[in-house]
Amino acid sequence: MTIKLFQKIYEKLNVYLPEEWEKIVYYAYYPTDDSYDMKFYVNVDQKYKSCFDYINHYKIADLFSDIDDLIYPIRETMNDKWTIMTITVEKNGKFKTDYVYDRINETEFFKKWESQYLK
Amino acid sequence: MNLDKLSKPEMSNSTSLESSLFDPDNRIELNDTDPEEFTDDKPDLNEESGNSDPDKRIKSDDIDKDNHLDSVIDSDCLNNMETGGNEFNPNNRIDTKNKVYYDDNEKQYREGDKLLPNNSYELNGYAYETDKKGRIVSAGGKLRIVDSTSRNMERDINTVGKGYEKENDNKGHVIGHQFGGDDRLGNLIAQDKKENQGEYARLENKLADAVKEGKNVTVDIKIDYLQGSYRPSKIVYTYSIDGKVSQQTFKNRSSK
Repeated sequence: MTIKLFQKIYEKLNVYLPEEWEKIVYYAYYPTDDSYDMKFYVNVDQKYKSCFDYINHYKIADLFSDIDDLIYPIRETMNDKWTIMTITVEKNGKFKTDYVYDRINETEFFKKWESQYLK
Repeated sequence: MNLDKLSKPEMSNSTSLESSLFDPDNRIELNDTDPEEFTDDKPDLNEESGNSDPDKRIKSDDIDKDNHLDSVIDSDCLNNMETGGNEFNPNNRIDTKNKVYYDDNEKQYREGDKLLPNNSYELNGYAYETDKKGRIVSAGGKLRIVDSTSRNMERDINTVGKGYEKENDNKGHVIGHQFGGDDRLGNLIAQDKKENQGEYARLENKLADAVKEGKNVTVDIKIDYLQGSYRPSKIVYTYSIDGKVSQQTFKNRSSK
C-alpha cells in the first residue's frame, strides 16, 4: 500500500471531518475478499466520536464504497493480504498505518483495538 | 518499500508504517516507493489540499444538526419498528386461490411471483421497501430470536432471482431465519451461497449472540442492484448493538 493511497483515503474522509478535528483513526477490515467493515473515529476536544455518531449511515456507506474502490484493486494484487488496516492521521500531518494479517476474533480484537487507538 | 515492519505485541502478525504525509523528508525515506508518487501533481494532505477547502468541508455544526444519528435513528424504519412496528406476531397470510399475499397489517404486498413495486410492507415485525421493479431495497427492525426451526421456504430460486440468479446462489434471507425473518419472496434475495452461508451468516450469528445477551440490536439493510438485475450487487448491513453502530458491506460476487 502506498502513500498515494493513504492520501486518497484521507481526501475522501476529509470531506466529512469537523473543522476542529485533531486526530483521525480509520480502519478497513476485510473479513473476506468480498466484504468489508470500515469505521473512523475523530478526536475533537480530546474525545473520540464515531463517524456514525454524526454522519448519516447511508452517506457513510457511499463514502466507504468509494474507499473500497481505491483499496480493493490494490489489495487484490497482494500475495499476503492484510485483514485490517488502521490509519491514524494527526492534524499536523503525521500519520501511521498498521496492518494485521491474521484472522481475528472480532469481539476480542476490537476491544483491544479501541483501547490501543482510542486512548 | 521500506515499510519499517514492526511487530506489535498487542496484535500478533501486524505491521506498521509510521511517517508523515506532510514532510518531504519523510517521504524520501520511503525509498522504494515509486518516486512518481511524490511529484508535484500529487495533492498534499496539508492545508493546500481538500483539508482546507471550504466548499468541500462539512462543518461539524451542520453535521450535528442535519445528520446526527439521533435524527437518523428517528427517521429510520428500523427504529420506528421499536415503537411503531409490530412485535413478533406474524399475521401475514396468503390467499392461495388468487395468489395474493398480505403483510402483518393486512396490506397486500405480493401478487403471484412478484412483489408490488414502490411499496412498503411488514413481515413478522420487520419493515421492507421495494423499488419500481418490485425488488427489495431495504429491510430492518429490532432483532429478536425465534425458537421455531420450521421453514416454509419459497420453492424456486427463479422466483427470487427472476433469471438473474447465478449457479451458486441461494435463496438468502435478508432478515435471518433465526430472527423470525420470513421464508418467502418478501424477505429473500438471490445471494451467493458462500456469502450467504459464510460471512453473512457469521454476522447474523454475532448479532444473535448479542440479542441472547440481552442487548438491544437493530438493523437497517440496504440492497443495491445494477440496472435491471434482480440479483443484488451490494448489501449494506448497518447494525446497532446497544447504540454502537457498525456497518458491513457484502458484494455478493458469485463464487462460481
